[in-house]
Amino acid sequence: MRFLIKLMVKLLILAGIAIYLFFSGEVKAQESATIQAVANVLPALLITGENDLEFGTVFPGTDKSVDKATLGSAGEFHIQGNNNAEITLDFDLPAQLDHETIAAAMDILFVATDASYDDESGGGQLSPAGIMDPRVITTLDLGPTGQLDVWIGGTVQPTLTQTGGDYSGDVTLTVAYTGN
Amino acid sequence: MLYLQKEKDTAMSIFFRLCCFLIILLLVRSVSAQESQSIRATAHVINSEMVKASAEASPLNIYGTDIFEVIVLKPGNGNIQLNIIGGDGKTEQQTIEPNKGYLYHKTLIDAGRKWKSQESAVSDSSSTLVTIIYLDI
Repeated sequence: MRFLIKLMVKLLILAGIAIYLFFSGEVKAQESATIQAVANVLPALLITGENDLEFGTVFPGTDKSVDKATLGSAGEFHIQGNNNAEITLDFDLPAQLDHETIAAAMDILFVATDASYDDESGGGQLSPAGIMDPRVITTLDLGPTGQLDVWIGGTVQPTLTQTGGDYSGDVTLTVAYTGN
Repeated sequence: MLYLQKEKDTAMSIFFRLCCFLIILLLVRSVSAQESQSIRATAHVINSEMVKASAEASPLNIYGTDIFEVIVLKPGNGNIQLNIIGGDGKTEQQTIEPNKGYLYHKTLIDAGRKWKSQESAVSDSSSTLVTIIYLDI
């Protein structure tokens, strides 16, 4: 009986030492393992303005529109990024064009069908892949080689007493990866 | 010796974690990267005061389906815009083209040239006043 008690005490002491060593971090025998940190860093998004939105000559009192499919007059952007990556497109549109030399402004209007895009699946500006609303943020995929073209039209609304001269304003497009 | 090994392992662990952090930081930065680009929207508004009343229409008073003529009094390049005020008070504006009725672009306008509209100038049957408001862009 006494022998059994001594044996149990010794076993408890050994178990205590094992538990202590396990949780104390005082590991006498060390092991190493290596894992790989893998990250696919997407290429930077590049966007270029290929063409200004040019209304040309405008008569006072007569609205003038430029269609998104009008070659040389519609605004055009080109986007280059990662193949098939999902991006957001956010236009910052002017409400007015400003006279270049004096304090005068002319209204400019954009509607839901004033922009189009081609993600390499369409036929370019005359036959784009789809239509987009430039007034809201749009989510699209870049093409198989990472290309996307965007065109935008609009309408200027000169008043009957609109001051003559050159007017201009900025149309800004911001693109960003969604991570998808 | 064991102490030195432990210090070495600790340093490598810190280095490994730092590398992971930098990679994740780079990844997050790339994913959230955004780019902006601006283009210009441009327009040239004709100065109406400089070109007003450079031509006249005949007859000035026309009716619903009347054909009217425009006679250029001053030579120049550009469009002619008609301001057609109907009997109902509504104003209709048209740009005319020689012998076609509408849309005349960037052609030399000779003094004395006559243009004739081939379409009805107005849709209502009441008396309509035709005035030339712009010429010589």
